[in-house]
Amino acid sequence: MNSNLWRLLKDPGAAIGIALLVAVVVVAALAPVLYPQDPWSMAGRPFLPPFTDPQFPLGTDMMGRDIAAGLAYGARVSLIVGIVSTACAIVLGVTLGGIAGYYGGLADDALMRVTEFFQTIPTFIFALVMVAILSPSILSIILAIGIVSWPPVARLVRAEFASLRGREFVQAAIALGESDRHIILRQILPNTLSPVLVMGSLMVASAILTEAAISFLGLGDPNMMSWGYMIGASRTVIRQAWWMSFFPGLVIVLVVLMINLVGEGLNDVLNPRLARKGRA
Amino acid sequence: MDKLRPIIGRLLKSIAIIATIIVLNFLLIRLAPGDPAAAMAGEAGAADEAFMAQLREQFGLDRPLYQQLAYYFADVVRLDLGYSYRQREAVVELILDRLPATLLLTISGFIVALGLGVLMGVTSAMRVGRLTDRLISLFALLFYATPLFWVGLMAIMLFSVWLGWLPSFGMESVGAGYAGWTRAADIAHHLILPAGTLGLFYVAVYTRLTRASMLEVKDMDFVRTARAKGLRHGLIVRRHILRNAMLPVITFAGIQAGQLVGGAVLTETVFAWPGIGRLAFDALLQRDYPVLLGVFFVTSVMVVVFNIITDMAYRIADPRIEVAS
Amino acid sequence: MMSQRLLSVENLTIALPSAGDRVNAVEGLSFNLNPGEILCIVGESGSGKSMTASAIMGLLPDAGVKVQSGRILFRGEDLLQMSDERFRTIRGSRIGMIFQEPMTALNPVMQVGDQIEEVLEAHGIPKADRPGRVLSLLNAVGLPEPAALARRYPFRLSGGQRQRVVIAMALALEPEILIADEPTTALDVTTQAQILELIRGIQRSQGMGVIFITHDFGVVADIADRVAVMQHGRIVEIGPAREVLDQPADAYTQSLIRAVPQFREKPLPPSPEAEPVVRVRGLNKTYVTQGGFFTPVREFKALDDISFDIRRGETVGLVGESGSGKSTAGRCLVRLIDPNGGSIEYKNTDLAKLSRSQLRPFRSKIQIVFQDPYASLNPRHTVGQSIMAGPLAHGIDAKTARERMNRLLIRVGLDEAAADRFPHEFSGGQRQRIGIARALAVEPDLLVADEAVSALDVSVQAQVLELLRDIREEFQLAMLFITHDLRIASQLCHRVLVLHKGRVVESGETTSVFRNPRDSYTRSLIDAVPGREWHHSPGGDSTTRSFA
Repeated sequence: MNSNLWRLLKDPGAAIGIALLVAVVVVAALAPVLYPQDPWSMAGRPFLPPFTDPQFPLGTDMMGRDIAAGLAYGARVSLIVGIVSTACAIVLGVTLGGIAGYYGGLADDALMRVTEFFQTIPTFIFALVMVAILSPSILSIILAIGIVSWPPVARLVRAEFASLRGREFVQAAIALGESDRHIILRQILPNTLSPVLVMGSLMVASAILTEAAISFLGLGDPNMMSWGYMIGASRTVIRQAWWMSFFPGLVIVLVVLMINLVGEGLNDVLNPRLARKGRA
Repeated sequence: MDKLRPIIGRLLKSIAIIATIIVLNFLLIRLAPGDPAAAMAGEAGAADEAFMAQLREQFGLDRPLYQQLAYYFADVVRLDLGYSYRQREAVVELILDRLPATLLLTISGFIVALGLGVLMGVTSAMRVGRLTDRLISLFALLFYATPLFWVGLMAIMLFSVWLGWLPSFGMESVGAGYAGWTRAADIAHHLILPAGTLGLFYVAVYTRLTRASMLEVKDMDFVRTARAKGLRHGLIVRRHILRNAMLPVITFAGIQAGQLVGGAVLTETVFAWPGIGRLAFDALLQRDYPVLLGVFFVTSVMVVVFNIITDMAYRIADPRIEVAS
Repeated sequence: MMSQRLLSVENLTIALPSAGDRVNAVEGLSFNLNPGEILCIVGESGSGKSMTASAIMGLLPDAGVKVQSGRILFRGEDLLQMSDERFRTIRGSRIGMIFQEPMTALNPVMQVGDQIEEVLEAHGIPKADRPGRVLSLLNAVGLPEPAALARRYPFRLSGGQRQRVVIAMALALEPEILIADEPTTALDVTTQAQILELIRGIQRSQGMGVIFITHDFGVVADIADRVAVMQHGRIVEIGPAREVLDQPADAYTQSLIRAVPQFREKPLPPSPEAEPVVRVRGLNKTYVTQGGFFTPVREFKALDDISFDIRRGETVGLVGESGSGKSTAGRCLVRLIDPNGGSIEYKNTDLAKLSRSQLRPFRSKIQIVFQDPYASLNPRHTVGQSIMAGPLAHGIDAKTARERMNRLLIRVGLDEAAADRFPHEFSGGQRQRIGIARALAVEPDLLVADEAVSALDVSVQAQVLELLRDIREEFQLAMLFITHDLRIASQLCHRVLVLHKGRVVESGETTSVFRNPRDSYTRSLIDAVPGREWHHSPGGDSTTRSFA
């Protein structure tokens, strides 16, 4: 695993990605220290353009709130939602997908129907409806994103389990009389983890995008500053104050891009045979 | 009969999915905190106790749950999606009114995404490792990471506010009274930004997918056979590589349809496009649940129909499918 | 002399991508091909024989493999210096090629007739003439109902039929040279024999020069005029087929030919025991494909009433072509597949009737060794973990399990240090030895070997067979040996069962079944074994062959 990490760091895209993500995590963690004042409170003159006042390098919004502070606090929401919802989806997806793939039969049929259903419906609208009905909060957003994200994981894990189950080393383990638990946990699961890990990293990125979109539509947690909310709130004043929506968007792009770069780097390292071809 | 079999199977599956959505909708409204009647009234502050009682009776809320479900089911099947007490109009009317605008937007967005995506993916795969490939891959990576609504806003900034080339909101010029081709041209003019915005994220998706698929097929045995036959390079690409590389792209187009419709909600919100996405946004703000659930239902049906179409396309493209299914 | 040469390869060196452990795939290779002759290039995997074929055809893989030096003269003109466009007009018209994998060699979404027609189109045959020529080509390669077949998609065709289509494409413009890269390796023996006959027949009638790449000396004996033996990218010996086969001069060639399995002449001494270890009666397995709403239920009988006994120290062979049910039978025996009917009696217990949990204590008694040395070991477990997992699962303490593992590693010809290494650090033959050690670690009474040596090169194959034989004697193991290769079965097995479409068509003492087959299917299998005449020719007589 250490050699894998080393190889990951040798990929320039992944290395830059990791560095930037570490920086974002640090800023998010230190937000209350860096900006002790509540990000919702008026800090300065409204509509202050960026790069004019050193105290507010990224300017202020129509209520005089510090944009930079908003970004720092917003990072917390994005990271929490991205990571927690993905973790839930992966735990659920691996468990259900694993059972379906290993045992097959009725459990498998049922799971396939459910994942097919989720593959068909407009999941973003479904998530919106859920958040609206459960009333917006960081918990309901995590829940909604988790619910729409687990089916692809389950499909992947199911396919991996089903194929590994037929592989000869697993057949040998069955013939040797190893227990199901042992076969699932020690023989099969470790061999499915790398694609799941890669998928998980990309899912964090898409969860951050989804959270931003939900908050943009005004369904974010009303008590927590988020990037999507900042863009949504400044939508109507875009003609007067471009910076209010520009900077949060830029941060989203950067964070999501970096996560994707790390995910692809991870893919190259963990699944060398499936690695993207032609990369010189 | 043999030819019809998979189609009938497919239709049955679609009906099952739609039925599940109806049940899901029914359960969702009951998940809402507090009185379902209040929820359906859209938390209309004005609703008095007598009105609520009337609603409760109307929806049969005093009856057992399975009966309520049966009534709800029967209503939806009759295309009665409820009443919006906020907008004082039947939900189905509200949605049908806005449907053409949404269809126009999503279909245009889809065509942009698929057309441009496949074109760039093929170009990229054909020049793998070279500058063109790197630029296209970088572009795809970037737009894959960009929130759609932000692209929309930035596009408005650039093309409407600064350059003044394109209109930033609406579907047509208000009060211009255009008709015929002039009107069509006006709508097209308004369509460029929203459709481009909606398409852009999915352009990235299709570019990446097409490129990967092309590169995979390129190394397959039958392509080597084609080279051994002495075919010209262009012909090998068109007939052998592209035709096979398109199969996963078609499958993916079906899977992505639901996401595309979701993207339309965001796009319509940004560009004040008068479609059902915009309707959903207003409903969200007002917690107008009947409209929201109606939108979820109708968009799901749209996606199901689109999936049937891609499925047919796949059947035509891949002769093996009949046996496999 | 020069004018007679159809193709001459001079001092050809092909470099591998820098990352590999070998610098060159092919090094300083030189040989000629004359009109109207079949030149076989024979060698084990990694010898560079396929790379040579690809280089001649200009079809080297893109990734870093390139011709370093040398010339490939076709009728005196260097193919390596030729413009792409000129080379293209030669490919497919004057030099044709057929490949190893018929299942993947055809475009899956294009009708086979169209795929053949493409060759004609690419080389300027007028459109009006093409359909007729396609039909006559399909006819020439012995495909039934050419008109209907031309409109089929490849997935409707069997492996042998697809290979015929590929041959039809290669021969469409009556090329002067045909390059055949292991064209029969993926096929069953009877199909192989038909395809070899087809190639030979067309070669004779058209007077083509053929370069035939193979790993099988039996095939060489059947069709070669001359043979070149390759090892590590070099030709170690080249000459007329008879000479090389019967009096090989090179030591490597000698070792290869010595390793080629032969039909055994004398029966093995029968096992002294009377009581069988396992008694199989009326074994049945029927696969039922699930019907959907509208799709009918389909049944496929994989095993139909199979019965046999195996005694201690005895090996029973199960032979047949793909789809005969031989692997299904093996897997039923270890209960990786549940049979639908019949009994598997072991020490008065019917294993076929036991539930999965009841079966667990019996699992150790019947073990299996698989075909694919790459898939049969968990890539994330050390060799030691893999071998010890079985004993540990059966409640043996870690210390005893470890001692047993160490002993077995040495027994199968590895050393104790292997225990801490991972499977990818071992060769195919070594992995197969590890798989055998893993099976033996739970001290079974019966070992099922499912095509256990089929994926290995012939020299490695001989060594692993030797190991299996030794182990059988040492542990007095009962063994069920499943193989498609009759020669190998004859080497190892006391008795054989010939399977065809799930049924036993013939069984008995090995040498008598193979010498005097009573069933017509058995006879066709034996007739199809490549190189039979060579095996039985006076000059190269079987077991006593030696090279002084």
